[in-house]
Amino acid sequence: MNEKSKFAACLAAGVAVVGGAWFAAALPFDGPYPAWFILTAVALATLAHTFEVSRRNLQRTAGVVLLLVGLLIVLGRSSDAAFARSSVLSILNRHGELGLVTLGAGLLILTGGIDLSVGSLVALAAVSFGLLAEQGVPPAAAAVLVVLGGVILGIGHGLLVTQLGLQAFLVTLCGMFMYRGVARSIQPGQIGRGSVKNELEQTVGEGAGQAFESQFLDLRYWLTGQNTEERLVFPALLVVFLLLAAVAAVFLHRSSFGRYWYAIGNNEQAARYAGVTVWKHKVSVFAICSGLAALAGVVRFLGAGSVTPSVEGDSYELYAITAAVLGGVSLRGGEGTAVGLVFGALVLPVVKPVMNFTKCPSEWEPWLIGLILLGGAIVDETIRRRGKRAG
Amino acid sequence: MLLSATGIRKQFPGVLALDGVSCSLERGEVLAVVGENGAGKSTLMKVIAGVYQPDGGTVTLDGRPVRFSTPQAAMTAGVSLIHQELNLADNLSVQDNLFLGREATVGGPLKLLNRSAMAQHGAELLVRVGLPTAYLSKPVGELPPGQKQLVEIARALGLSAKLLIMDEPTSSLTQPETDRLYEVIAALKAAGVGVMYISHRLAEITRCCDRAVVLRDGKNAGELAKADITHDNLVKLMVGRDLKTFFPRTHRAGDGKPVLQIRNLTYAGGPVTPVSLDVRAGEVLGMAGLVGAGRTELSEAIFGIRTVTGGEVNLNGVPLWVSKPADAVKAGVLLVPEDRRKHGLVLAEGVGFNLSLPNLDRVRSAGLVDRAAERAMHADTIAKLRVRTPNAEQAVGLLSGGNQQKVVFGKWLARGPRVLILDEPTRGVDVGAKTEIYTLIDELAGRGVAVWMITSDLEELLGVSDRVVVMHEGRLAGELSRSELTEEAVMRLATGGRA
Repeated sequence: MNEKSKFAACLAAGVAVVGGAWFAAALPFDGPYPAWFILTAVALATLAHTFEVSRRNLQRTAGVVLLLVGLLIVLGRSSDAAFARSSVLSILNRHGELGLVTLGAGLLILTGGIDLSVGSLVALAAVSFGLLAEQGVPPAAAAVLVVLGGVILGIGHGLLVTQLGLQAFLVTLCGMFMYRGVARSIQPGQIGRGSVKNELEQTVGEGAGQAFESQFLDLRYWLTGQNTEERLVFPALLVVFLLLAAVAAVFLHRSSFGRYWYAIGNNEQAARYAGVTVWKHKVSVFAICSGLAALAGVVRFLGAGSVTPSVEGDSYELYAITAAVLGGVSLRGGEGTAVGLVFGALVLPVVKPVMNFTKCPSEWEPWLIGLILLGGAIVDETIRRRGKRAG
Repeated sequence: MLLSATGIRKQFPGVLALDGVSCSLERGEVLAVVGENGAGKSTLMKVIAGVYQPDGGTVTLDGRPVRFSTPQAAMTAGVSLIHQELNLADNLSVQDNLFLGREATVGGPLKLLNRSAMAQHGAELLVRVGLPTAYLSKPVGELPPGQKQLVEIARALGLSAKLLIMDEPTSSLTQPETDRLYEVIAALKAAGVGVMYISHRLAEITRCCDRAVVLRDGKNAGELAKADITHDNLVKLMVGRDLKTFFPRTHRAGDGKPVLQIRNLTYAGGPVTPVSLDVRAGEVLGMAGLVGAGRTELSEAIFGIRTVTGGEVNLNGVPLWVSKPADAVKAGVLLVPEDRRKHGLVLAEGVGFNLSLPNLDRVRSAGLVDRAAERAMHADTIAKLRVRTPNAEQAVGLLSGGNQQKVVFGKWLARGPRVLILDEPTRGVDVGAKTEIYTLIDELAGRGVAVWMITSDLEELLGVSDRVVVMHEGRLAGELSRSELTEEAVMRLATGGRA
């Protein structure tokens, strides 16, 4: 099969999957369907098309798919309400939200890096978004500025690692403390849509508050899928994530960048000896990771309506690493696929409702997550060893 | 009879690595085990040393059948394997390494170390391998490879080894270090220790072994008594045919213009005296010298791995500015590095991935990799270099040394090199593949490529080079034309003597 007909087949499958899901979730959503429908189908098709069907890739994703199927079966049997529309929508949106940070962390781990500052950066980004809006910056522009700020911080991480030779673990550990600290210093308490609006009304005027409110709701609708009545009407966040994941898939599996990233993750020296300018690539991936974390901060603010800097994004870096590892990214570097990251990011969002519906106390969550990760790692290793023995 | 292995079979998935191989060894005998890569030498050694368990056949040690389930069990029974990749902890001292895992203690629950007993015993062991006893406290990482090897041998002696198995012990040794190793082997022999010796360097085998067992495709291909060990006989048994020309020199273009001109070059970590050197079109410039003479370092400076601090480099008369390998690659100055597993290849990735890595700019359209063009390039290179691999997706780490090296060459061929720097191009490569690599070097020189070959293998240096420069302690000790080229002349210059 040539490339074009394979893509057509993937696209048809993507349309079928998205259409089927749409139908199963009981028509109609209230939302801008055609655009999102097409974008999602294209994103899925791109992900499927760029996925190299090799033994190694199948082995790396088989574990997480089995785990997800198991969790979904448990979820389905636990309650009739589990697959109700609102429940599914919220799972999908959480998938998108975790997916953003997973994508960045996954790409970074794949090139042999690590980022522990993701959670703190989510908090700093969310708070900065609110504070910028309070200064009268339109929400969309504030979002762009915050993401750019994240990219700049990421470039900083990358330069410290590549030019000064500091370890990524250390640099981002410092970032983890600093960004959380800065977030709490510039905004000691909660900040939210209401407080921003009040501030604008007092400092600028009634009109400014109204304008902010309507622009905020628009942006929230397009990025998270909540309508003006705070109701989730379609999983916009998932669509955003899938589109970004599709872009990542093209980069990883079809462009020379991806080749260089795998080579760097596997053997940085060999990449350098082959004429790859290693440091530029490493810096870029740090920038991508922090940029996505900043974007996650913005959508947290949009979705929740308010954020508290001391707890916002808490442990996100660890969730992101967990999801990436479950999705088949090796902490040793050089291993992983875009599709794997999409699956990996779905595990934790499914675990939560499974716990709710099976009436597990919420105190169990941390050890359950730990257990699942451990189980996933063991299954993964077993499959890989068997594969090695067979080939 | 110290050791006797009969009918050893070992099956790996898809490959029958050993198919009824037999060999035996007397006390105080040095047995060479010879064969091309993939012939089963290393597997046989590993079966005897307990790394692998045989699927069939028997091994007897001192007349008793043995079956070692782990290398540790074999070591306790007196069989020690000294690996190609040395198994020493670089951060620990020589003494700590000698007794690692079996430290002498003064007893008691804390297992406090009995340092004086270890120092005494350790000193005896070092004397046996001819190392100064003062080395006991030195970190192993500070020793050159040859001395590390001797430390490994001393460790095996500490376990009262009856049988020492050495897998290519000289592959990273200089000539004096190799000579020292022979002395140690002779002393072991006199003490009744049996030695099994794998080597690719036929000259060494003729020199130090009593008998040679030749393997081919997992079977015994023949055995040669000391008197019959000649280069031709060994090669005939190994490849099953006569090799016509070991060092082809049919394509040389003769005396070309200087392509690479190095003038008064100084570089980070290099010697104080500046280096000047010309590499000409269509010639193979051989570069000899002891390990540590600064040959690799000089090539690294040209390739952009080391920072150049002074002097100039011209490529075809135009100044060449290289601050990173990418610059050198762009200019067509390409390096086949000494350590191919570390610097030359991404072992976990496929043959195709590795061949593509430096050539993606040539198979790119609209920012994406043109996979059809890429596959065509892979097929072309694999066929041209006769890389033995099931397909282009095969992980390159699973190929034999010779085929791995062909992939490293293949990475650069597509780029059309102007200057090709080869650092130990045939280290760990079997005889058949060596000839193929020499043929390739000859063809490249014939196409007008300036080839600069760094090698510690004198036979190769003499066979392949059109002109030889010898380095000693970072500076050029002398130049030899083809007519002046003899082993003695090279060694005299390499050890600091005059031409």
